[in-house]
Amino acid sequence: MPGFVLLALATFPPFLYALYLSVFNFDNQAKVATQFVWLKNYATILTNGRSLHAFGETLIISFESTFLSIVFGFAIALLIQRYAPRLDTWLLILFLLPMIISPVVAALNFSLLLNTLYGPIDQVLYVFTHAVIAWTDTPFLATEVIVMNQVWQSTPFAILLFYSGLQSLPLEALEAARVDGAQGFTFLWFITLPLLRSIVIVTVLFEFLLASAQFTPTQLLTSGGPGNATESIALYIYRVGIAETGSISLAAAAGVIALIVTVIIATIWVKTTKSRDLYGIERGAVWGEANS
Amino acid sequence: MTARRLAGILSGRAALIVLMVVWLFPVYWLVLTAFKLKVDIESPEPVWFVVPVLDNFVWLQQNFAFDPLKHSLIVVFLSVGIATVLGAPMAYALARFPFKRRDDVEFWVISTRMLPPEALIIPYYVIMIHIHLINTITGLTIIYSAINLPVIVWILLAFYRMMPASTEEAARIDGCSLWSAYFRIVIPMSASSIVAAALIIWIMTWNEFFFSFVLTSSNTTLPVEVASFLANGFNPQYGPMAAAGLVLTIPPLLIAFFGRQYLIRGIQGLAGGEAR
Repeated sequence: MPGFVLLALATFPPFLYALYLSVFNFDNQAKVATQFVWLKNYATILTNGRSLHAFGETLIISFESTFLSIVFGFAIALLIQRYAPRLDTWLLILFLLPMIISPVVAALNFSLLLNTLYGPIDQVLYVFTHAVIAWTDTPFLATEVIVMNQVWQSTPFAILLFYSGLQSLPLEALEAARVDGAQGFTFLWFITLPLLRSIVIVTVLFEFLLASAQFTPTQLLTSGGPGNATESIALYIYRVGIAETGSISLAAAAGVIALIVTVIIATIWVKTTKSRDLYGIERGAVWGEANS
Repeated sequence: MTARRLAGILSGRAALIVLMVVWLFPVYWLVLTAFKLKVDIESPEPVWFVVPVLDNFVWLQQNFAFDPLKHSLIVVFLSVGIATVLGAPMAYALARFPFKRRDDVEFWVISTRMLPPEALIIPYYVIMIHIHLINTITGLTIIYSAINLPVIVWILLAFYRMMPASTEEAARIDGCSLWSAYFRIVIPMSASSIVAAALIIWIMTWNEFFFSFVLTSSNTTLPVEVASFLANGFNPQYGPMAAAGLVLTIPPLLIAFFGRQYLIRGIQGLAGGEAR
C-alpha cells in the first residue's frame, strides 16, 4: 500500500532525525550535525528559564482554554438540544463558523476587535471607564487574549461532540431518572454527565491537543510578547530553531520533549477512555432494560 | 406549571440567542470592516452599521499579489486528492483484512495524527533544505499530504467498521475481484463519508498556517500572505486586511453552507467513531 509507505516516510525519519539532531551540535552554515554532545541540549532546555517559561505558558493556555471550551461547549450543546432542537443543523453550523475560519483570520479578527484606538471593545469600555486598555501589553491580559482566541475557535468542536453525545443518550434511562425525581443540576451532574463520560474525555483530550499545539495567535496577536511572556512552545521552537539564532539542535530537543509530554497525556486519556467507556455503556444498558 | 415552563423555554432561547450573538460578533465585525470606508474604520466612536463600499476590495485587487491564492489552490487540491486516494483504501484495508499486527499498524496510523506539529517542524525544515524543497510548492504538498493522510484514515476507519461487510462478500462470491469489489461496491456505498472526510481536510489544509509559514517564504500560500498584513505594524491597513481575511474565509463558508451535513459528519469523525 503506497499510503503506508508515504506515512512511514513522513513520520519515522523526521522523528528519528529529530532525535539525531537533538544530541548533536549543528553547523548552521553547512546545515549538518557536527559534534556529538550527548544530552546537553536536553539539559539546556530543562534548565533554561525561557524554555521552561514556554512550557509553563503552553500548559496554562492549554488548561484554561480546554476548561472554558468544555464549559461553553456543554452549555451551548445543552441549550440547543433543549430549546431549539428543530433548528439544530443551522444552529450548529452557525456556531461552527469560528472553527472553520482560518486561525490567521481569527487572529486578525481579534486584533481588529481589541485594537486600542479603533477596536469596538476598547471604545465601548472607554465610555464607561475612561481608561484605555492595551490588551497585549501586560503578560496577564496578553495570555487571556490568546486563551480567548483559542476558546473562540475550539469551542465549536466541543459543542458538536456534546450535541451528538446528548442526542445518543438512551431516552429510557433519562425518563427513569426523571420519574425517580432527579431534576435540574442534580440531573445533569449525576445522570447526564456520567452517561457522557467517554465523550467528555475524548473532547478534553482533543481540545488539549489543539490548544497545546497553537502557534498562530501567539505569533500574530502578541508575537510572544510582552517580552517573551506569551511565547508558547511552538513559537519557542520556531524562534530558537529558525527565526533567531538557528539553534536547530536545541529546538529539536524541545520538540522531542513536547512530543513526549503529548504522548504521555494522550496515553493517559486514551486509557481512561477505554476503562470508563465500558462502565458508561453498561450502566446505560442496565437502565434501558429496567425500563422496557 | 405551563407558565413556568414557557418562561423556562423563553429564557433558554434568550440565552442561546445571546451566546450566538457574542459568538458571531467577531465574524460580523470582520465582514463590517471589510466593507467600511477608512474614515469609518478609524473613527473614534464605534460604527456598528455601514452602507457597504467596495474600496478595500479594489485596493486588494490593485496591490495584492495573486500568486499566493494560486499556490494555495494547487497545494490544497493536490494534497487533499493524494490523501484521499491513498487514505480510503488504507482505511478499508485496516477495517476489513486481518493481517499481522493490525492493531499496532492502526495505533501507529492514528498516533501520527496526534503528533504535535512543533515536534516535526525542525526535522522537516532541515530535511527540506537538504533535498532542496524548502520554499517550494512541491515540498509543501508532500508535507500536507502526509498530515492529511492519517486524518482521512481515522475518519473512514470508523465508518468502514460500521458498514456491514455482507454486500462486498456477496459481490466477491459472484466473481468480483478485490479491487473491482472495492470500486463498484465499497466506494459508492461510502461516497458520502469520503466526501465528508475530504471536505474537512480541505478546510484544514486551506487554513493551515504553521507549516506554510515556516517552510515557505516567497512561494507562500494565502494564509501566510494575509497574515503579513498584521506584521506591518506602523501603518496598518485595517480595511484591506479585513477584506483579505474575508477572501480567505469564503471557501470554508461556502462549504459550511452548502455541505453542512457533510461537514458536521466530518467533524464528528475527527473525534473518532467511538464518540458517536
